Amino acid sequence: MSAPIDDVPGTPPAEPTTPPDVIGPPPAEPAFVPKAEGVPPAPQPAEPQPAEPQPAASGVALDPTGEPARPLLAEAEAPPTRDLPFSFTGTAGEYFRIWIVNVVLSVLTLGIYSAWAKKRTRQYFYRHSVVDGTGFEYLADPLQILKGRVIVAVLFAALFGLQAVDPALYLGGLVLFVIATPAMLVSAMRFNAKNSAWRNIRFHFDADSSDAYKLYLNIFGLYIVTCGLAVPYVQWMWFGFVIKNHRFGEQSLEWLTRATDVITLYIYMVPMFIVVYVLFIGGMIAIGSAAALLPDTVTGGVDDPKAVEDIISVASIVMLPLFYAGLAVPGAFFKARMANLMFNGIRVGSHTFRSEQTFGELLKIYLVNLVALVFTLGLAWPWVKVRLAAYRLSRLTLVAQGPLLVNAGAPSADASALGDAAVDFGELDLDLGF
Amino acid sequence: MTAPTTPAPAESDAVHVAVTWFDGQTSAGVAGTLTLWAEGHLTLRDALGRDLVATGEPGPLHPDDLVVAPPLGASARAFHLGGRGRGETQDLAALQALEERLGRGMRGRLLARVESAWPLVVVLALTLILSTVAVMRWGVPWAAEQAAMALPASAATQVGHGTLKLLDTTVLSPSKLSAARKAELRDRFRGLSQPYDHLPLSLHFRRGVGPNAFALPDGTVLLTDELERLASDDDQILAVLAHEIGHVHHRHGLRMALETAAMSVLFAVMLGDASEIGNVTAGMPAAIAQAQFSQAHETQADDFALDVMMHAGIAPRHFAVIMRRLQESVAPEAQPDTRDSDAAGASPSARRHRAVKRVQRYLASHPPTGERLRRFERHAASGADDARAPQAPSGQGAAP
Repeated sequence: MSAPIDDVPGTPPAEPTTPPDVIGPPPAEPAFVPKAEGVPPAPQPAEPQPAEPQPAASGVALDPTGEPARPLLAEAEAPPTRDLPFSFTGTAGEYFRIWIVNVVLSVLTLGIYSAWAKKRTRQYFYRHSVVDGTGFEYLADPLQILKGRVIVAVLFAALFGLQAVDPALYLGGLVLFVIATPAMLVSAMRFNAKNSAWRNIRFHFDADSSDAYKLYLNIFGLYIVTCGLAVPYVQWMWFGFVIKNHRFGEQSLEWLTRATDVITLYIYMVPMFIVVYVLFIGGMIAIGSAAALLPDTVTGGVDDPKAVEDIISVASIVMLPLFYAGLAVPGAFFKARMANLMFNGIRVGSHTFRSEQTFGELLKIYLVNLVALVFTLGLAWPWVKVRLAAYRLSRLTLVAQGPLLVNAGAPSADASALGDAAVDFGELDLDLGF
Repeated sequence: MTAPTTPAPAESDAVHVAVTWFDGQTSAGVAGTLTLWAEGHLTLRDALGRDLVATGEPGPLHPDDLVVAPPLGASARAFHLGGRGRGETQDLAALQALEERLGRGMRGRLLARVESAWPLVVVLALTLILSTVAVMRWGVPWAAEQAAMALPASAATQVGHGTLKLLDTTVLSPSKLSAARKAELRDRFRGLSQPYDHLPLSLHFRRGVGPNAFALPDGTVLLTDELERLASDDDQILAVLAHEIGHVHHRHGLRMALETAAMSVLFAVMLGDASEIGNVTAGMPAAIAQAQFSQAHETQADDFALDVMMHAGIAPRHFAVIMRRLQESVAPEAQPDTRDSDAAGASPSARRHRAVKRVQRYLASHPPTGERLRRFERHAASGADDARAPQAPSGQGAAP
C-alpha cells in the first residue's frame, strides 16, 4: 500500500499532462539507492507520523526497492515532475506569546536575551515553513549571535558618541560604515545560510568580500554611466549574485530569470507610483477646496487666519495615511511579481519552483495589515508577520523532478556573526521578498 | 519479586519516540525510534531494529550524548546524538516524557509553559506597555538629568563641539550689526549671566535663519540680526538670552543626546525584528517621546529665564512680548491663543482650531506659545512686573 506523498489537502492538482498515477512513490533512480554499508532502504515518512514505535507501521513511499526495473528504463525518459507545495504551519496566537515573552525577557536582561529571542523567532518561522513534510531549521548559536551584537553595539555607540563630540569625525565614521557594507552583507548571508538547514543538510553562501566589492564597483559604475537609471538591472544583478552564490548541500542554485523581465516589472511599476503621488496632491487640493465651501461659521471665513493653517493640518492628517495605503499598491504589485520572478527562475539540480503570488491578494493582505498595525498600535505585528509568511508559502510550490536527494557537500568557511549583527543594527535590507 | 508499592508504569517501561533521522550526509530521511530503556540506555533504531547511529564502540548510546532543542510552541523538535546526524519528531509528548525521565530540559519547559499561557502573556504585555510609557515619561528624563549633571562640565560642553563651524559653513552668515551694538549687547549679556559665570558662556552674532536664538551645549549663545531687529526693547532680547542660558545651565544638549540614545536602545530592544514596522507605528511613539523631552527642556529653560529676569530686574512681560512678536513673524496673521481659548472658545471656528492644535502639540518641539506666555503674563499680573522691586544685586546693566 502506498501512501500518497503529494496528496496534501488543498494542493492544486499536478500539471494536467502528468498522469494521475504519479501520485505515489516517485520513480526510483540509481542515485537514490541508499548509500554505502548495505543498509537496506529505509522508509521515510513524508508527513509526520503519529507516535508508533512498532516496526513497519510508519513506512511510507520513497522506497525504491518496490520497483526494481525502473532505473534501467529511466535513463532515457525524463522523470515526471511532482508538485510539493510549501506551507506555513505556525499560528499568530502562538507567535504572539513567543514574541511578548521575547520582548519582556530582552528588556529585563538589558538586551542580552535578544540573541536568544532572535534564534527563537527565526526558528519558529523556519520550523513552520514546511515542504514535503519537513520544516526548515535555524541552527545559529545564540552565544555567537550575542557576541556579534555586543561588538556591533559598541561600535555603534562609539559612532553615536562621535556624533555628539565631533560631527566631522562622525561623518567619517558613517563613510567607513558605508564602505564596509558589502563585506557585512556577504558575511551576514554566509552566517545565515550556514545556519539554515533542511533535513540536516545546510545551505551555504560561497561568495566572499572581494566578490561583493567587485559587484558593488560594477553597480557604482553602472549608476554613474546611466545616471541612476540602471536600478532594475542592478536589482537583477544583485538577486543573481545572492541566489547563484547559494548552494543547498553540494547542489548549487541556478538562476534563470532574465534581466528584461525585471526591467519590464519596473516599467509597469513606475507609472503606478506616479499615479499615487498625483492622487495624493489632488486629494490635498480637493480637501482645501471642499473646506472653502463650508459655511463661514465653521471655517471662520477667509478672515480667520487660522483657517488655512487648520485646513492644511486636517488635510495632512486625512491624506497621509491614505498616501501610505496608496504606496502599498505599487509595493504589493512589485513584491508579488518580484517574488514570482525570483522563485520561478531558481533551479536546484533538476528541481524548480513555482511561485504564484498575485497582486490583488498581496495588496489585500498589505492593507489589512496596515490597518491592523495602526489600530493595535503595533500589537498586531505577530499576526501580520504570520499572515505574510503563510501567504507567501501557500503560493510556493517545489516542482520536484526525481527524488529530493542532496548530498551534504563541502562545509562553509567559518562565518562570524558580526556581519549578521551589523545588518540587524543598521537595518540593512536583506529581505528578498521571501 | 514483589514490590511493596506498585511503581508507576512509566518507571518500568521504556519510552519510545517516533523520529525521522537525517544522517547529515544526504537529505534522505529514515523513520526510526528513539528509545530510552528502563535500564537507562538509549537506542535509535530503524523499523527493522537496526541501529541508525554507529557508536564507534560496542554498547548502547549514552543518554549524555542526547542533545534536544528546547520546545518551541507546537513545532517539531530536533535532537542530535553527540553531533552525529540529526533527528526530529512531532511526538512532543513522548519526547518530553523521555526528557523528564532523564531529568532534563526543565528550563526549556518552563519557558514553553510561560509562552503557552495566554493570561500570563496578556498581563506581561500590559505591564510592558505601561512600564514603557512610565520609563519614557519619567525614568529616561530623570536618569538623563542625573547623568548629565554628574558628568564633568567638559563632557557637557563637548557635545556639539564643531556644530558652530558646521552651521557657519551651511546656513549662517556673519552678522551685520555694528561693533558698538554688539559690544552693548555683550555687556548686558554679561550682566545677565554674571551669577552663572562658572558656565563658559559667550554671545555670538549671526544672520540668515530668521529671528532666532540658540544655545550650543559648549556655552555658545547665538543671536540673529533678525531677532535683534524684531525686538523693540533690549530687555526683550535679554529675556530670550536668559532662556538660552537656561539650556546651557541645565545641560539640555547633553541630556537630549542621552535621552535620544536611551530611547533608541529601548525601542531597539523592544522591537527587535519588528523594526520593520518602521515609519508607520514605531516612528510615531519615537517622535512623540522626543517632542515631549524637548518640551520639558523648553519649560525648564522658561522657568530659568523667569528666575534670571526677576533677579536682574527685567519685567517678565518682555518675554511675553518677544514671544508674541516671534509667533507673528512666523505666521503673520496668527495670534497666539492666550486668551481666545478661554474667552472666545465658544465659536465653532475656535473649537476646530483647538482640536487641531491639541493633536499637533504632541509632536511640537516647544510647548504651545500660548501656554508659555500665560506663565509669564501671570507673573506680570501678580505685581512683580513693573515694580522692579527685587532690584538685583548684580543688575548693573539694567539700562532701559
